Amino acid sequence: MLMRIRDHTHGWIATGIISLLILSFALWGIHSYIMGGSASSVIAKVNGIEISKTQFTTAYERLHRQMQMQSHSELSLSAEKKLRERVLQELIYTQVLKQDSLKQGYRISSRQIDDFLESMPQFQVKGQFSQARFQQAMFLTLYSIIDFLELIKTTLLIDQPRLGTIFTSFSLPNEVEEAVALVNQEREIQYATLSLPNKPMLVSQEEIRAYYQQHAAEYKTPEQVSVEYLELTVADLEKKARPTSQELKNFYNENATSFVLPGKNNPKNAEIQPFEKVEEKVKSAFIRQKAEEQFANAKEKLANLTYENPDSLIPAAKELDLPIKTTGPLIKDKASEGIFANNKVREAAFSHEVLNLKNNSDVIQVDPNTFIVMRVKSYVPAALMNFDMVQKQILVKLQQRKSDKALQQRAADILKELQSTTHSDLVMRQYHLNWVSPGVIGRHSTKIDSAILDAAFSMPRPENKEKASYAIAKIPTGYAVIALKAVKEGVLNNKDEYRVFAEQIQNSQGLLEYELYKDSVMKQAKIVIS
Amino acid sequence: MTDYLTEQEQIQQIKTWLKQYGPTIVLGILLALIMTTGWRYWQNYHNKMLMHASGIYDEMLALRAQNNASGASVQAQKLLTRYPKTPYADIASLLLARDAAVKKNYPDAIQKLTHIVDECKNPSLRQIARIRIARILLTEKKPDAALNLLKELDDNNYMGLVDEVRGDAYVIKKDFAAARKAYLIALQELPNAEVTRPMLEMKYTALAAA
Repeated sequence: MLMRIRDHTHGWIATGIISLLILSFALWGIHSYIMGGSASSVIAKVNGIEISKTQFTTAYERLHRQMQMQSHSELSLSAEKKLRERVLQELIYTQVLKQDSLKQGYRISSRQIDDFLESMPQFQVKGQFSQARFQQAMFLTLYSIIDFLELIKTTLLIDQPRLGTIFTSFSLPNEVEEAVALVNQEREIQYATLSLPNKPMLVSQEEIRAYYQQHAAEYKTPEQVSVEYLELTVADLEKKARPTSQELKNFYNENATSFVLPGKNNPKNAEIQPFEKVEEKVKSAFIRQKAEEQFANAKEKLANLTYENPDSLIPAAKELDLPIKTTGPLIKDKASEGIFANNKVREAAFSHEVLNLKNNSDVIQVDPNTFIVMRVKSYVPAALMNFDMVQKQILVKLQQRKSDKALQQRAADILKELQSTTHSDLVMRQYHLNWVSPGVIGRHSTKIDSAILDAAFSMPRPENKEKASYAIAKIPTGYAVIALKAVKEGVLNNKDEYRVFAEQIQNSQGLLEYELYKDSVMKQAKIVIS
Repeated sequence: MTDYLTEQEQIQQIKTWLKQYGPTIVLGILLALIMTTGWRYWQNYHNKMLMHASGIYDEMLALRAQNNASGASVQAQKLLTRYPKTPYADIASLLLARDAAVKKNYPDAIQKLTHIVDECKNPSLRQIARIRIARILLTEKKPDAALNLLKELDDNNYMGLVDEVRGDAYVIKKDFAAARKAYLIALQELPNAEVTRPMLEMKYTALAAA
């Protein structure tokens, strides 16, 4: 626009006007001048720059669609909420990092954007950038070309400091040597396991009762709700359809080209089939089309009638000729049969609107061809389970707890004695224990229980060859007493390994440095979520 | 009260007013014009300059990714001489320092990193350079110099990483209690350290107290 004004005007007055215009743009920001943008359409502000609701919704829709395609099912309400938060967080993150890059003085030219776009393998056919492939991808992913190019620019802007940090990190010889010594370290250990006694521990009736009362929350039946509902499906509408032969003939005449017999060798020889021959085909196509037309209409009616009569499904059932179906008791966290296997549907049954206010639910889309509306029929609140029913269960639990405690005490006693003597054999004999000797083990050994392994590698080093260091570890079958006899510093297994370690340290260093860089930028940003 | 003036008088008044203020207005408009075009021109020039540097920077990173050290350092030198005082020159310094460190030319690496610590405007980058110098000092078995250098903090978000290097310094000084303490603090300060820094966890448990 400005170019046009300049081309078609002469004299210093016009130039003066333009200079004032330019000045006001410079002061107020060209962006808000053109966009206008009302305050209500802003979802967040990052250092004064707005993220619009439209931006947010598009990003959300895109990810939502992708996730549904991956999991082949509808997302639950709570998953949708989480996704919404994640998308907003991601948009804010991107905006903050982009602004920081620009502030630092990073720039991306349109040539760099083009080069990047053309190098993307997604848009290449036989190693060459394909305009058609690109436009098809834009169509499928809901991107406009301008938005997509802007996205590339933003990505490249954020990437420049990121890669600058990561690609300039390094590892040093002493660091690599230390890592080799630690990671490949081997330890010589022995261990003995203490198992639970066969004789069950005594637990009194009072103890069981006390436990039951203190842990009442754990012994509750889940709340249950039964609902009645109307189910609107395309399939049902198809079943109800009774087309007259006149309707079918009309449909055939309008769509005759759809019922051709393909030519054998040449499409030009395709031949239009007479009505009598394809009547069944015509009928099913007609019914499908009609049902789909009716479906949208019926959904509208269903929504209106259940909303206008919030305390009953009957008016909608009558008008739409749908049976009122009922369910058995549903539990919120347990998948039920049919459409009630869907989390979203069960969540609706337990929602405030349906359960507490006893209103009809909104129209819920179960899948693209099924809509339902439900209302609560009966409700059983969560209840404390009868003491007799859980008595046995608690007894077993308390028995286990007691014997575990006794065993832990025993292990601690043994540990203390081992640590204070140079004659470990005597202690072992006294407690009727035998050392198991797996020998020298590495950090990732699979020869022994993982709890013993973890403990073995967090123990202090033995003082000398004669005096091992000791520790205890909890294992699935009880407890283990562990003796650490020697520590062997790790060595390189082969020449290649040095390079692998060096690279890992270098990358871990660079990635962490950048991670902290990001955190730093994030903490400085002024973020307002509206 | 408004004084009613004849048309003639009004025109006369406007003429006097224009005579008095006209030149100032014209001057003002001209100044605004010069300032805006000047500012825009400079912005334009500055952006163009940064975009040129950006292109060279991309080439530098690409060569570095291909492990072509000499090619990358040629581009880095270009950035340093032609585009100093841009973020691209800062990263070029970091790249040359890495090059020197890989070749075990430690004084040279430290000198290039010190340049960042002294000159760079971005505190996070200064802190990164400071930590890298400290690690090189440890390779040279100079733990006191490293500890001394780390005393100054450019960006307190890097506290966890600083404490880890401090721990490494204490290990070299054989002050294992202090090392253990520093590692423990680092484990708490670094985000998600058990997963992202398995080595730190190992260094910590290797110093288990008897």
